[in-house]
Amino acid sequence: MKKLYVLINVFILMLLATACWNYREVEQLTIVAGFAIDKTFDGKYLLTFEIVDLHEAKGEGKVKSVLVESEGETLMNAIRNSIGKNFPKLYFGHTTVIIICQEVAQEGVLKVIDFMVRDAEPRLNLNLFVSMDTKAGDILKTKVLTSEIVSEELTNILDEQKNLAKALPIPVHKFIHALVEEGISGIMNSVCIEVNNEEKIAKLCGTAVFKEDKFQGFIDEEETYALSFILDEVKGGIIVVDVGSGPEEEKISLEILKSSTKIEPVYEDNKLSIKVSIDTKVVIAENGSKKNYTDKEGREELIKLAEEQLKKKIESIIEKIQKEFGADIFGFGNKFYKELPKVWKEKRNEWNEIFKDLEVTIETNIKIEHTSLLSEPIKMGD
Amino acid sequence: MIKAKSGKSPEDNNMKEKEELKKSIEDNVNLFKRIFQGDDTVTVRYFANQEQGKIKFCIIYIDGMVDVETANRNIIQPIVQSTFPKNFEGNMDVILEQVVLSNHAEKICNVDELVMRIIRGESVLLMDKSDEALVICTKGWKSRSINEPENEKAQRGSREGFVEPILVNLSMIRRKLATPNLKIKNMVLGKESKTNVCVCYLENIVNKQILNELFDRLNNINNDSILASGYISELIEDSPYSLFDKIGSTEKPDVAAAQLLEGRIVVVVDGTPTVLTVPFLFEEYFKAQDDYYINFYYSTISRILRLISFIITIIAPAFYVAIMTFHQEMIPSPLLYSLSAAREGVPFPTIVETIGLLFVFEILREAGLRIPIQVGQALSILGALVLGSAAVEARIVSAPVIITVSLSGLTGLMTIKIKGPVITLRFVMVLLASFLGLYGLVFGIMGIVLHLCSLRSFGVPYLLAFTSLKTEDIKDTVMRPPIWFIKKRPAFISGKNKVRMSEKDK
Repeated sequence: MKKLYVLINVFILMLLATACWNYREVEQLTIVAGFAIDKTFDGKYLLTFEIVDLHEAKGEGKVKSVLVESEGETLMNAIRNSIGKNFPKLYFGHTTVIIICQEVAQEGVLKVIDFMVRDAEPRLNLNLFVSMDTKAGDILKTKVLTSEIVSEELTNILDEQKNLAKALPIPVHKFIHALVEEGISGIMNSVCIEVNNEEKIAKLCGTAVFKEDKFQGFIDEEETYALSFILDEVKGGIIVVDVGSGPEEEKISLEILKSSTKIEPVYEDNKLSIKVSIDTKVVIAENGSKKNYTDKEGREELIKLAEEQLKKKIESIIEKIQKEFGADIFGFGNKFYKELPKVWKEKRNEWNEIFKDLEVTIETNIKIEHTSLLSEPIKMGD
Repeated sequence: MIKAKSGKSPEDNNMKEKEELKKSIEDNVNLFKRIFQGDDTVTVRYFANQEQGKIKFCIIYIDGMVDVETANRNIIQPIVQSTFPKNFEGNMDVILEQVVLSNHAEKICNVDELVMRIIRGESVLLMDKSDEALVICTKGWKSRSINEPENEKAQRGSREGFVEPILVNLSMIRRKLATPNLKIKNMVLGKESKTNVCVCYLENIVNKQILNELFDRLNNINNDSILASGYISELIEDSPYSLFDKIGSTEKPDVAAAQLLEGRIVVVVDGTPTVLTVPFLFEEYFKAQDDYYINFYYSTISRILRLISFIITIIAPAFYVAIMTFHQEMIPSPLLYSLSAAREGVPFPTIVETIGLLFVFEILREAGLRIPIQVGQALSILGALVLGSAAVEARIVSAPVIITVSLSGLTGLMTIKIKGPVITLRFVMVLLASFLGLYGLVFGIMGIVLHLCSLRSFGVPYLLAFTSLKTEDIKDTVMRPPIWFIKKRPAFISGKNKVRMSEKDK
């Protein structure tokens, strides 16, 4: 009898002690692949949802997407307002992309972030974008080249670009990290519209720089490339070295195999500075000149040129960020906070000023691993 | 009226059976006729010697139970034709020693015993003026020939399987293990059926505690009949309400021999081609005797497949229900798109679909179990075509459910021995998953594991081979080690004699 009593109790507990559960059939969900946040002229939020349309698919063929717009005073309000439009509740569990228009970004993205962290459905690994020179909703209206869903396409492009160091992987949780941590500012990928074959397509175009939760400005793809070296996010890509002397353009492509970056904060004579050292392993992927770079002298010359040119690029992006935006997106302050906490405590309040004139020394070490399948340039034999 | 009479008559018989035989042959024959009243197969035949015709003989047997040739040639012919010694005068010993041609004949005067012998197919020879009867073995009924058992097909092992007569079965075991250490203890169980049950074990290997426990339990059986070994298995099992078997069974002598060699005990029941093995552990569901006859890499892969199949067959439908109705965020996006597109237009909730299809699958399986082969084809057409593709096309069920249920059914066929528990657990899991999602599924799995841990078979922990710390207990579980690695027998099951292969024999 006692056993039975215990068993019944266990079953009741099993039913009541569940945290978050509800039975719902998949066809009762309206799957949101991505959404865009704009502002209307009267200050309301205008949300454009890209909804996966399953009625067309019927088990076979490709799934398409439909766009649904909805207005509201807050994000949640706008989402709830969409329910009136004759389809089941929106489901954000599979949302991969959120595009924020420049205007909303300038006002501050904290509201958007708050909604996403507070709500149970959206994942914190979805990607945030800032639309450049266009309404965010228009990005979702562009033509899709490979898949049928714009959000999916954007995620795919981002994944590809990440491997080429032309875009940075910035899921929501990383942005939140940058917001919360000391001495680091957030960034997002930016997206714009390009005309290709007379059709409008979406394209990644560099990075949006934030200070706290407010948008400051864009940097382009080349600058993003340099930025990814500092942030140690390089997983591949190409270093183009200009070896031409004089009018003739001769360029060599070095394919990056592996790259690692170390940032060292230095405190000397009451002065803060940063040392960045970048170690990169490359292979010669393309030789656009007739010169042979395989012997020792040639290699050393090539390495020297490559190191100098890479260093120049990185220095220029640091200078641009320091002078134009003053936002520490590199996380230099964070390095002081972590490694020299006592110094950081003193200088924390002046950091914004210090950062603008922070001395950053960059050291690049490039190592050529091999020269791919060809060892010497192809000789033309007339 | 008739019922009351028939209810009474056995008691009357019991009273009379305590009697000894009388001197008069007429009285004796009438006695047997009374006992077997209403049984027309009992045959009584009088005859006498050609020279000393005054002494009457009578043979009593049951038609169909005896081999007529043997009875004629070995009993009637010698008595009728041979020349009796002159001072014979009704001496039964002379008949036994000098006349009857049989390797198995004895003198008995107890009526009770005689009746028993007649029922078992022996012939009773009565002689005038003698209060002793001769029981001569003339057993000879038709039995099935030795076939390969359908349920335990062998790839490379022996193809012979047990048949119904207990003596044939025992001889098959004996031929595998030609050692005097093989002991066979006979007992008769069942008040009415009086079934012969033999307990076989290797005396030098068996664990005496398990053996005594088994005898205790067998002696406590008080059932009226033992029609098949399944009766015994159910009557002596530990935790009888559990879903899992605690007593193993096999239809093959080589499997029985292997079990004996591991220190297990084999119970052979007359009339059943399935022998019982005790103790039975959980791991044995996933082992096949063939594993030891083929390459050990291949056997290991097969065993791993069986284990994985067992897990899949139980949780696949439940996992599908849980994922589809509670945890949509766990499905990769493209898969979710196709799954929900497939569910488009299906009127029933996922849980109804799943349980319905599982039900249909079980019906198909159960129907296919006992039907003739010719009907089987019709069944598979009905099942596969009508219920499968037509149901999907008509949007009564969605294709993913069919895939899940088929997967579950297919993997279930991998471990056919554990079929019973699997069917029940599958439904339980689906129900748990349908109202608690993965949370419920995890609870179900925990429940199964806890239950398995609590089971014992004749004192041996049910999960011994998975949880033991001794290498000899666990090494032959998931892996099938090469035979030269299996030097010791499982310690818990076998007694003191653990060494299988000494260093010298290597």
